Amino acid sequence: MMSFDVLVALMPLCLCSAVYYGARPVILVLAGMLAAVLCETAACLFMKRAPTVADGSAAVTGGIVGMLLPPTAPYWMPVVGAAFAILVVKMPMGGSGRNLFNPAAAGIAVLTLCFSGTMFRYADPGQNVPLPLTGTLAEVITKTSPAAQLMGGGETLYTPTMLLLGNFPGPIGATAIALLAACALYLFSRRSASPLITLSYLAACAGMAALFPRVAGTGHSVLMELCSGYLLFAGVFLLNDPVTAPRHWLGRLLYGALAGVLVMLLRYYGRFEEGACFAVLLANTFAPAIDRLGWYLLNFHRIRKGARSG
Amino acid sequence: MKQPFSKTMREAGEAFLDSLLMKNIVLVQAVGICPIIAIGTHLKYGVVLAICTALVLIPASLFMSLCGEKLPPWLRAPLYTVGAAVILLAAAVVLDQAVSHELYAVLYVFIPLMAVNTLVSYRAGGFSVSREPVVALADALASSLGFGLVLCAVSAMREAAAYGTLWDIPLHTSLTLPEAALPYAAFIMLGFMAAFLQWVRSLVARRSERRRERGRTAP
Repeated sequence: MMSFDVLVALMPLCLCSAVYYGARPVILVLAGMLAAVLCETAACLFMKRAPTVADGSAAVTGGIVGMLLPPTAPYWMPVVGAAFAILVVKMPMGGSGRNLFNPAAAGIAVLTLCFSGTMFRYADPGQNVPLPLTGTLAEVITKTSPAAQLMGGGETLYTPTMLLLGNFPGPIGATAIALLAACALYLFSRRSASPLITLSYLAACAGMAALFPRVAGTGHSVLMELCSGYLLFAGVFLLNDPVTAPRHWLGRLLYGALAGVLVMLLRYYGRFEEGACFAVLLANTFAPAIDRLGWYLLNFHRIRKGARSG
Repeated sequence: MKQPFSKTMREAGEAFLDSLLMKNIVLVQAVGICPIIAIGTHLKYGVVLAICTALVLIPASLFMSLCGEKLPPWLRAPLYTVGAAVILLAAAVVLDQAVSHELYAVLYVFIPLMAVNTLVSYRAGGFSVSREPVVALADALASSLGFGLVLCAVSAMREAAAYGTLWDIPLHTSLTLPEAALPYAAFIMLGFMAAFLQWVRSLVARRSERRRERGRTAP
């Protein structure tokens, strides 16, 4: 089952975050999952349908919403995001397998729009002190994330080793780049994610970063852009949603490339330091058209021949 | 084309109910969404815009039903657009001088735009031509009412959510979401309202189907 592979892949990322920040991120992710599962059950009961929670897609949605929050987020935030994802984006469209947009991306997009102050307030993982589980988080030491530094255009403080090990401020599950790559390989090997989408997405991002660098040095620019924010996480977990991605291989290539270009444009010209969720939603909008375009391009000769003979 | 008066009146009643509720101009026919998205953020703006729509739509529909068929098709659209623009110009002056300068300062871009709204061209230019004046009048009234209802509902909800006020009177809510004033929130609200209306329509259709079957089986 596809959803359970994704859940397995999310687990090490969550645990890695627990090493840096203590138990708080784990609770946030579990809160998102629980809220999504409860909302989907309630919606199914309301629509008088057999509950579809058993396919695991609701848990994946809630988990991803939790994983993309900062570790300092209040506990109601994953609940609100997951509830929006399930009750507004997924179930009204017909539920599992029929949603037009990736529910998790939409949940994160709404949270980003409504609570941008909290969404980009990242704790410093270098402190090696677990975050307090209750009470005020005002005293938590925060730090500028690499994405914010790229946006501000200042000197970058982060070395490649720090980036690969996830020792930099960012969302709960999206910082450990080496671990994220391993999870991606696991999903590719289980055929739960399409390498075509992820690789063309990353290639487009890298190409944009190399052509229009925001920091000195082409290689450094590519590394910083790919590792900061949740760009890589979006490429592995959000774009590969089997419901909203194109089915055809050429369509998948074009879809990934489009999403990559959109992510970089949103970073260059957008209001926020990271806009991958908006890029995923925009790419979702074009997915059916891209699928048809890919099919048309491949069958171009046959269509022309048919038109001539008929 | 002369038909009995009672039939005309029934047609007018049907047109009224259709345009107001069952085939609501915004929620089912998806016409006139742009003003709702753009300025449906305060109940006051919504009411002013709904009044402007009615001011334009009712004369235009009546005019088109009275002499639409005698005019060549190419002349119809320019005529009622220019007429609507003149009415809206007067309405804007009245709003600025007599009602409130602040409202005018917000709405001055959007009021003249109503003249070229699809709402007017669709109902006045499409429906009213070749209809009896009574039917056209009923349809124009119901269309403006239906549009105004949806517009006021959306703007009231958005004002309460985004600014915590209603008709500029504070509601003393503890939580406000300024982002509800962004376009996407209005799209989501319209989507849910349209889905609710479709559900009501399916209920009504099922009930009338059942009644018809009962009528068929009974001797």
